[in-house]
Amino acid sequence: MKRAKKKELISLLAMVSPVSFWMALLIALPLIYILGISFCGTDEAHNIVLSPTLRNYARIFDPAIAGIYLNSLSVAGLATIFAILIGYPFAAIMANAKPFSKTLMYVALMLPFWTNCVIRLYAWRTILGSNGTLNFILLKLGLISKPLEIMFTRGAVVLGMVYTLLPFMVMPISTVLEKLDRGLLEASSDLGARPATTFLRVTLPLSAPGVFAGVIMVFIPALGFFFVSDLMGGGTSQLIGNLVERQFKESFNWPFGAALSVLLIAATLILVRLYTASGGQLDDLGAM
Amino acid sequence: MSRDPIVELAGVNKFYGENHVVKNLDLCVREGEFLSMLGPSGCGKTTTLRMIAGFERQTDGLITVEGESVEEKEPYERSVNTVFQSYALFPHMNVFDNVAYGLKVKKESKAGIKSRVDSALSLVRMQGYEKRRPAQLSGGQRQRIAIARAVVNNPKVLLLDEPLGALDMKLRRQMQLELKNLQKSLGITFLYVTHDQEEALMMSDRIAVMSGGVLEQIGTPKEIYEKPRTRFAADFIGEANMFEAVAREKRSGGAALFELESGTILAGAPEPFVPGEMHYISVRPEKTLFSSAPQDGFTLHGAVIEHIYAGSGIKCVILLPGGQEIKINVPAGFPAPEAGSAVHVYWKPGDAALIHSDSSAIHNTIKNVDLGKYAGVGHEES
Ligand SMILES: Nc1ncnc2c1ncn2[C@@H]1O[C@H](COP(=O)(O)OP(=O)(O)O)[C@@H](O)[C@H]1O
Ligand SMILES: [Mg+2]
Repeated sequence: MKRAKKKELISLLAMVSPVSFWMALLIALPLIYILGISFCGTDEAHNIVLSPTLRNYARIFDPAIAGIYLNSLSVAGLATIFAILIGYPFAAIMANAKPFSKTLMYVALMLPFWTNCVIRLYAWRTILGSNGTLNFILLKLGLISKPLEIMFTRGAVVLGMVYTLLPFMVMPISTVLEKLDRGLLEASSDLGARPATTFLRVTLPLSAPGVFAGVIMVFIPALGFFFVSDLMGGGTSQLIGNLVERQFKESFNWPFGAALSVLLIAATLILVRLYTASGGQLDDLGAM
Repeated sequence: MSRDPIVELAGVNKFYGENHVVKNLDLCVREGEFLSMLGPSGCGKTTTLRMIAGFERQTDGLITVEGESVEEKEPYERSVNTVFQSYALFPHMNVFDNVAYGLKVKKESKAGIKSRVDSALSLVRMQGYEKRRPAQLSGGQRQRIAIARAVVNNPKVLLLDEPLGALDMKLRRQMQLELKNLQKSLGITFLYVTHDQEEALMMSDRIAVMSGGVLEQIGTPKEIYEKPRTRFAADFIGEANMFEAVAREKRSGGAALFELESGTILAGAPEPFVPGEMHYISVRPEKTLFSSAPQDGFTLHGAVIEHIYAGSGIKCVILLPGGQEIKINVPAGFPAPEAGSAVHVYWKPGDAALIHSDSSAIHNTIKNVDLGKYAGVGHEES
């Protein structure tokens, strides 16, 4: 009887506002849980104990942990820079392409998502490994005398990140560039600006919100994508994501893992706030 | 005011695919004048401006600015500036930076930029708005900034594409006067596009009437209004009573008698006078008169079916037995025919404009289009 009533209430809530209900259930509750335990400690048996503490947050200043943070930030930073350098021209060409070529480019960008990301990263190993296709060709051509060590370096991790996250840079930029009023480019040209000047003074500033959106969508995941570091870096390059993963799967220090996650979420929120403050549209972030 | 040509178009054609939007256009803009291109939407006005500014390339024909072909010049190399229909102000720059844009791009000195932007802003009475973004301005203010941004570069020719199109009527009338004064005081040549005939008549030194990509007539507002040379020009500019008339006999004082379906009329005699030739004759409603007694040469007699008070005057419509309706505008304070009464319609023969016949318009089109080259393309909009 009591259960039936509860069910009724839930279905009523679900009907009144299905979206907010499921949002609350699937997103808010786990987040609240994570936030809660990030202030807890653990006993010897790795059980979470309710004794409010800031120790988990203080551990970030531990040199070993701080080193991982700095490494992770630099990998994510490099990945973001390369994603902009490759993604911006790609987005610009896509935004100005004829409908057919545009569709083609869009498909090329999205097609990889049909295959599991991990499998695609394995493909990179067969291409870039010391016995991989690239080394094979270069050796055969006599351009190198011994295989290049590409895999399992920081560079490989950055490459993996750029490869995995590039679409998230291209899409918001091309969305903004497509919406860009061509009349403004003509006005600039009419006033005597050469194409390069028009790009620097008009196109680039007006597409900044798209770039910013891309930065958020590349930089934040790049801090957390531990599997990229595992597969491409083979453990040579530890990321915040690896650290978080280890707390939950190996060290069983959930409160510390939770604190690390809270910091990542906080960083994301700050970036999104900066983004909207600079005139960006939240819709463009969610467009993916 | 100097009268040398500054922009010349010779035999300019523009095709968009199969669509022939500008047809063998010959146009000469003289230095310092205010020339309006007037025509209905879609007649190729914007396309013509865009070809002069360099955003579109003509399919064939020659465009010269200051006697020099601009064929090889990119928009940023041409000495004309444009005021765009949508203003196209840079949304990420404030008013000062918008107006300073052209000068900054040309690497003028900071002090020079400051003083020129100041004087351009005072010209359009927008001082004090330097720090505002375009989004924080009203439509009329954006309009002024768009004009300041163009004139600050001291262009030889300013191209304006329906610059007042987005403004409400009252602001529009005010801006018309301001623009006209601005043009006079700066002495810059204006090539001004509009579809508003009243605007063109008020502001222009000369008007180029366009229809379906063809230049129908070019002349002073007075010439265009009083002596329209094509049916289109007569119809499009102001109101007109249009008659299809056959020349019958010459009368004294340069007049001639014409025969209509519903009677006879007098109008200026065509040169050369060919009895039996068909003409279109256009008479403005305010030049059309009425009387209770028949007038010499005129046998138009009909019933007053409308009598409308319109503030500055009274608008009447008279229905002729053949079914044609004739509009008469009577200024306020003068007697107007009562609705339901029957009146005779006439005018001074000199007030009737003679349009040879449609064959002249057709003749024009044939002369203008190389049919051999574009056989089967002849698409006309009107
Ligand atoms: N970029 C374009 N591509 C194809 N057709 C166009 C283009 N621009 C204008 N047109 C066509 O050319 C004709 C003239 O347009 P336009 O010059 O803009 O007219 P107006 O400014 O007199 O209203 C129209 O029929 C329009 O549809
Ligand atoms: Mg137009």
